[in-house]
Amino acid sequence: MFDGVAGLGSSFLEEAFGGLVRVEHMNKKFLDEHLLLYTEEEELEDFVAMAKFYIEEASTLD
Amino acid sequence: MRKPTRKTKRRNRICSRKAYHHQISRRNKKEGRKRSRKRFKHRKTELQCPEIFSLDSNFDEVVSALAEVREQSKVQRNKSSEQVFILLQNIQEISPAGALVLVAEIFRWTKIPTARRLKAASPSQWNPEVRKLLNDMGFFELLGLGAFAQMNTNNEGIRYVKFRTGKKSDGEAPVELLTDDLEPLVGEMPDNHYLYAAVTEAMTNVRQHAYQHDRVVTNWWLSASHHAEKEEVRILVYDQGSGIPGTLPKKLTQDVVSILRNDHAGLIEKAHDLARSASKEEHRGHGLKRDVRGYLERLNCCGYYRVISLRGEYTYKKLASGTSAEKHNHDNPLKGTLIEWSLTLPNE
Repeated sequence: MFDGVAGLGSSFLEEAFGGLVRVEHMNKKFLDEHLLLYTEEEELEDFVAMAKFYIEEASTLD
Repeated sequence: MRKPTRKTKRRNRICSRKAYHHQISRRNKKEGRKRSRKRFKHRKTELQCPEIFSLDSNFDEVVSALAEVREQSKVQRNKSSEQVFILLQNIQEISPAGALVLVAEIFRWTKIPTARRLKAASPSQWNPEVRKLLNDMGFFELLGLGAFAQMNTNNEGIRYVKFRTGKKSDGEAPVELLTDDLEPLVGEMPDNHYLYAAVTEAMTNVRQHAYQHDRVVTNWWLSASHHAEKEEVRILVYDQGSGIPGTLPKKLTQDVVSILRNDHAGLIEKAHDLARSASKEEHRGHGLKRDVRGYLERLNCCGYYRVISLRGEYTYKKLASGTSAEKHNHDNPLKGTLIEWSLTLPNE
C-alpha cells in the first residue's frame, strides 16, 4: 500500500520492485500471484503503475 | 687519559664547528618563521565579485570568481594564516542560482579545518537587496555572523529560501522545503509528489555519482526562490562533484565522444536520453530522464528545467506552444552540477 508517501523516486522503485526479479530471482508470475500493489490516493496511482512497470522491465531484461 | 691524536683533535674541531652552524641556522629559521608569521598576520587577500552575480547573464565572470574562492581555500588547506576577504559590496544583482553556488562555496570553506574564517568586507556598503537575499539564504550564519533581523527593501516581491545541505538522499529535506518554506509563499506546489521524487532523485545522483575524488565536501545543497510578480518558483539542487560529463560511464563516452568531444552540453543531453549510470548496470541511471526532467514534462504549467555541469548548459523548456531544448557550452566550467526547475505557477 503506497498511501501516505510524499513521493517515490524511480531509483527507489526500480531497486525495490525490479530488484525482486533481478536480485531475489522471483519471476513475474509468482509476483502477480503474491504481490498486490495499490493505493487509495489518486495522485499516487502513477507510482503504483511505475512499480509494476519496473517488475515488467526487470523480467524482460532477466 | 690518552693524549688526543692530531686526527682526533681535527675531528673534534669539525664537529664543534658543525654543531655551532647547526645552532645558528636553527635560530635563523625560527626567527624567519616568526617574521613571516608576523608578515602574514597583516597581509590580506581580497576576492573580487562581479557586479551581476548571475549564471543566466554573467556566467563566465561568476564561475571565475567562484574558482578564485576555491583556489584560496586550497591555500588555506596548507595552513596559511593569511586573512581572506570576499568583496561582496561589488554585487548589484544576484540570481537564486548565483546565491546558492556562492553559499555552497563558502560552506566548503568553513569545512577546511585549517582555514581562517573568510570575512565579508563592509556589509554596510552592500546593495540592500543583495544583502537581504543572501541573508534569506543563510549566508551570514555561514560566515558566523548570525542572521540579520527582518530586512526590508524596495523589492519585497523576491524571496529566497534558506539553503539546506546534506550528504545522504534525505527525504525530509524536500518535504520541509515544500511544506515549511514554499507552501506559506505559494500554497501547495503543483504535482508535489513528482517534485518530491525529482528532488530526491537528484540527491540520490549526488550520493551515487557526483563525488568520486573529492574528500573535503560531499554535500548537496537545496534551496528555492519565489518571485511574486512573475508568479515564478525556482527550485535548485547543487553539488560540487565531478559533473555529469565527467561521470558518464567509459563505454558510453567512447560511443559518443567521437561526436561530442568536449561538448559538455551535448553530453548532459545524452545523459538524459541514455542510461548514464557509472555503475554499468542496465537497470540503473534512468532517474534524470524519468524523474528529474520528467517532473517538468508532467506539469500542466509552463517553465524550464536546466542543468549546468562543468562547461555545459542544457535547458529544457515547456511553453504553451510545446517543448524545446537548448544547449550551450561556456568558456569556463562551473565546478559541479546545478539542477534548476523554474515554474510559472498557473493562475487560480
